Amino acid sequence: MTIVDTGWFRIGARVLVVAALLAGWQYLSAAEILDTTSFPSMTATMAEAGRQLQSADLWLAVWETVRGWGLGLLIGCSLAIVVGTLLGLNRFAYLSVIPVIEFLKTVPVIAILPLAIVVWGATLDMKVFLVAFGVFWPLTIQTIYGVRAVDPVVRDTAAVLRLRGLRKFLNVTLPSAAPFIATGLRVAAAVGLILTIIAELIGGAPGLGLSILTSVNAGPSRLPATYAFILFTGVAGVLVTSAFAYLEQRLLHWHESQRNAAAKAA
Amino acid sequence: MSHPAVTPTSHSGTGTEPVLSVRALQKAYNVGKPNERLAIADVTFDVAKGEFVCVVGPSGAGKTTLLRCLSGLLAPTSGEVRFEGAPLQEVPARLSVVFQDYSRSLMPWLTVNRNVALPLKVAGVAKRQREDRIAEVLHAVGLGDVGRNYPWQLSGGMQQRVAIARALAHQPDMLLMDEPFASVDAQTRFDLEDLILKVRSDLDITVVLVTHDIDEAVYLADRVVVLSGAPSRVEEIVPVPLGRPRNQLVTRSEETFAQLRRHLMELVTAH
Repeated sequence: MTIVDTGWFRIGARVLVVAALLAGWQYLSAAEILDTTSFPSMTATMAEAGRQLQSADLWLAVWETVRGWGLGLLIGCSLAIVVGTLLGLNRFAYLSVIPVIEFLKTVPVIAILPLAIVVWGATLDMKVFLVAFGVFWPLTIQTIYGVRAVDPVVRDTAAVLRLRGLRKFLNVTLPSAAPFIATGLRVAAAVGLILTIIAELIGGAPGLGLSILTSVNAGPSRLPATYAFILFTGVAGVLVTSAFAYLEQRLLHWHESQRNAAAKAA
Repeated sequence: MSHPAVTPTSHSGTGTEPVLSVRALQKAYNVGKPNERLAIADVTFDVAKGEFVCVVGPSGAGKTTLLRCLSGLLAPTSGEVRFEGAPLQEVPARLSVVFQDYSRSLMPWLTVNRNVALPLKVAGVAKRQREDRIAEVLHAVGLGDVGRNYPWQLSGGMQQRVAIARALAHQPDMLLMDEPFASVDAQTRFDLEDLILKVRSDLDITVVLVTHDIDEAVYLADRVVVLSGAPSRVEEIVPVPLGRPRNQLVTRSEETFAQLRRHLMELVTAH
């Protein structure tokens, strides 16, 4: 094992890259290579970010975003897993419905945003609908494929063991579909966050997206705040993705992909 | 539900009634389509209670198709398979199957204990007895304290032992095995062959084992059913008059073993 493989070295390298990027940003704005009317300096942005972290307004915005995202994800994903499972278990239903689902999956969610605003206005409901709608179709398809992807040997084994009904579903069908559903959920969580921010930014519902918009409208003096909010949405995205990746790793520890990951880490 | 005319029990009758009875079995794939293919032409044989029967044949002889028909996983095109007197509709409760590919047949998301528990849960065995039975059956296949491990954490030979333990857990009357030792190394293969012979004599269970390995068939079987190339027919049913218990070194160096081996080899390679 060389020094490059050690955990400390890897973490150190990553911290160094981030520090170099921040220093580069500071240098470019201090030397006025970056236009100061569009780009605040790194230190000004960080100072603003620090101030924002102590303000109740920021945490209220974060809460609004998390609430819209979480509810939309919960509703959209629950429906998708139920509908996807039912369609996956019934060949006739699957063949009948799949063209409609494939079509609706390709409709960009942004295209229905104006419709949602007309129906619900700049509200939480509008956000929740948009997120639920956006994550429902891809996760439904993912679930259908997962439920249908039971290994033939596993299917024979289930028949030989005379597993039926709920016991078969819990012991065979669901675990076989789990890797597909987990990937679908991880993607849905990230897509859901993007849709939440869009619903706030364009639809005007309260949350981090709206905070970005209002700080931009407040003029150049509020520029560091805009950048701080953008940074916060980035951090939220990273947190969401790593949380779901961690859950996937825990729940699917038996799966080949995770076994290899564990062996590599060891 | 209609009861079969013949109801075999271990207490009544002469005890010579076959556990498994195969009559004029025929299996064709894609019936009525241009790519219709006959896999099994005509197979007839009986397996008596407590007997060890091996089925051999040249590669592509439809051995796996035959096993799937015998287990009730696949419906024959014509002919009949009877298990303990009743025609097969599905996989019977008193019959267990061990597949070649243990790494896929053992559920990777369940621990060894939970894998072995599956047939016991289906049979409605209470939790306490289930735990006792799991420990007992794992011990019977020569496995120690591996219950909390996942199958993929074990070696190939150990995984196939777990699969055998799972197949034996609910005390079936017959074990159907599809090339069960084809995916392990030679030494492990000998160990597992001896294990299955021991299990069979300890539990007095009927075994039908499909293999492409003629030496293995002679070593294990009371009778060997030799299939022709596809579409399969029964070429010959060869009795194996070797004594028991058998021993890898002694049995395999007997004169009779060599003669049987030669005879079977001629039958299988004649095409």
